[in-house]
Amino acid sequence: MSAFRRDLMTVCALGAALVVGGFVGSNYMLGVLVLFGMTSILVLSYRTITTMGGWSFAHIAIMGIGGYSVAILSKPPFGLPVLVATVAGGLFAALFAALLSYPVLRTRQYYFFLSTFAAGEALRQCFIQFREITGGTSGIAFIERPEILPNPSSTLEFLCLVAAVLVLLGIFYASLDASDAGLKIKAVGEDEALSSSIGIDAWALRALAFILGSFGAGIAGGLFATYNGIVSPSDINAMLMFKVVAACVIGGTTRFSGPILGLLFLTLIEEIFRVVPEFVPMIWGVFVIIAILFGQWARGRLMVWRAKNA
Amino acid sequence: MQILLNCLSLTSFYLCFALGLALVFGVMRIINFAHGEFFMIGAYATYLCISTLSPQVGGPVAWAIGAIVAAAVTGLLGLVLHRTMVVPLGDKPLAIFISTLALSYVIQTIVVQIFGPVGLSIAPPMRGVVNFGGAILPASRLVVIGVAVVLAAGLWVFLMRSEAGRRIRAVAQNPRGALLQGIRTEKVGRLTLILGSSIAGICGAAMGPISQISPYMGAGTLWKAFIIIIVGGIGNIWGAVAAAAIFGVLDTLMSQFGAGRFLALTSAAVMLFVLSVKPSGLFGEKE
Repeated sequence: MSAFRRDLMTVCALGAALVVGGFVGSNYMLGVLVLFGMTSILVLSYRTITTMGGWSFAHIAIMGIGGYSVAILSKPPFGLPVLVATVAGGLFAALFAALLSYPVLRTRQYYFFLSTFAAGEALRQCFIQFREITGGTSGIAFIERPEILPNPSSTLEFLCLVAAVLVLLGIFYASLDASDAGLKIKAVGEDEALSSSIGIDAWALRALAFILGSFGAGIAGGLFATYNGIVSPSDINAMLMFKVVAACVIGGTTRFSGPILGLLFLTLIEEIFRVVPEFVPMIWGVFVIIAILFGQWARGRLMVWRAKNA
Repeated sequence: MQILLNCLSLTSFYLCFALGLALVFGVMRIINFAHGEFFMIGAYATYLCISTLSPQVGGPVAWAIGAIVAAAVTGLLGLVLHRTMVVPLGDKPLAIFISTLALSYVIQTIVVQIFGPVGLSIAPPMRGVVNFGGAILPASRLVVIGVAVVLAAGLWVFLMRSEAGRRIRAVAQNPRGALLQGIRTEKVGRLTLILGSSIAGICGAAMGPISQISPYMGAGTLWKAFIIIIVGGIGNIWGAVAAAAIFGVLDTLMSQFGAGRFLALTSAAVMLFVLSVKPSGLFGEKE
């Protein structure tokens, strides 16, 4: 089976599992599944960014742009339908990423983490400071659920919407991955100098991955905002950023299944230690360290083993 | 005059905080995300020393002991970090960055469990204010300025005049070349990380009495230090000093003239502008 079809299968299976789980599960389970679905959109869009070789740390802040767009656009004086506002939020996030990409993508490796981290934090501070627009620390409340749902207060219907968005975006990202541009983006991520030498416009492709990945983050942010009914700076927390990065580290980013399985693992830990939530970050952290150190050790052993059996 | 003093005070804090990070980053090209947590641990170590010792030996002495303990503890943490993460992950900056990020959460959780999530305040070891030509400065802020000056000057002398400092500079310039000259780069890396972490601890000791200490105090300041390093320039410790001064002055002036809410935006704009014009930073050399 080709990689493209496998990714499609992963996304569709996940969407189906969410809906089935929603129908059979309890109310509590429903809430967990909605969160899982929305975070899956985040990690899948994040994975697209990582294919170009840079791990952004502004993803959650860019998600916040989507959230605030929905909050502002769905209320008067704009009064757009929530779904339209969500798509607009994705576009705004992509636009912001496009503006950010000029300075930020001139940096590589450690510099890229630092500059995206600082830019994301500054954006969060702006959400806090510009009270007139964003409502300061208390944020914007009373955001409606999408009107196209027959019964907007039903979590199950919202879950189906999240699953649908997840599958749509998943198909989009999988097609991107399999397309000519996607393959080139991966080549740039592997070796930028070599790719440039055969006439690939490395800068444009890195920007493309960053912008399209941020679009998904904006959509996810819009969904979070309309699900919670409120958007505030505390949504843009470092923990969620860490969760997304950790899912990609633990699961790996080669295929779509990696980040999803990583996220599943983190969510399971979160649910197992539900009674002591203050320990969850520590346990996540320990597993990330183990995953990184063990991966390094295992790769070393594998190379030794191959050399011996060559 | 008052504004000038405030500028100096803020610059010293930024300098203190960013110095250790810039040293480690400049020499080894790795980012220690747990730097903020080391800073926080330094503050808590000082808190413990002052609250237990100050009745017996008096505030200033207890603070000095606290600073030494803070430096020792964070130096030890730096050693452990080097042994467990930096050496095995050697040439993977992203892996080191994320594992230190994970470590920062581990440390935060542990500190919350021991001391509670609520902020504590340290009784200032130095009371009273100092007058400078009509302007006033709390004595404990004077301590921060003193610590920053001593640290920066000490680091300069150490790097420029001592044998070990020369080795560190050689590794920073060209690790491969340094290795060929018979310098044990791993040992230099260890020394650098211990040094950088101790600086974070001392900075925590100096800042603790001024602001409230809380388990999240380090994480909140880290992004500013990142901006300072980026603007200062890659691998250039003195660039970081200059950038700390730039932001110290800029931030003080902005809060002075009622534009405090634009601080984060301005800092980010300065960073993005510098990246657009000169991606290697104001004082950085091109790699």
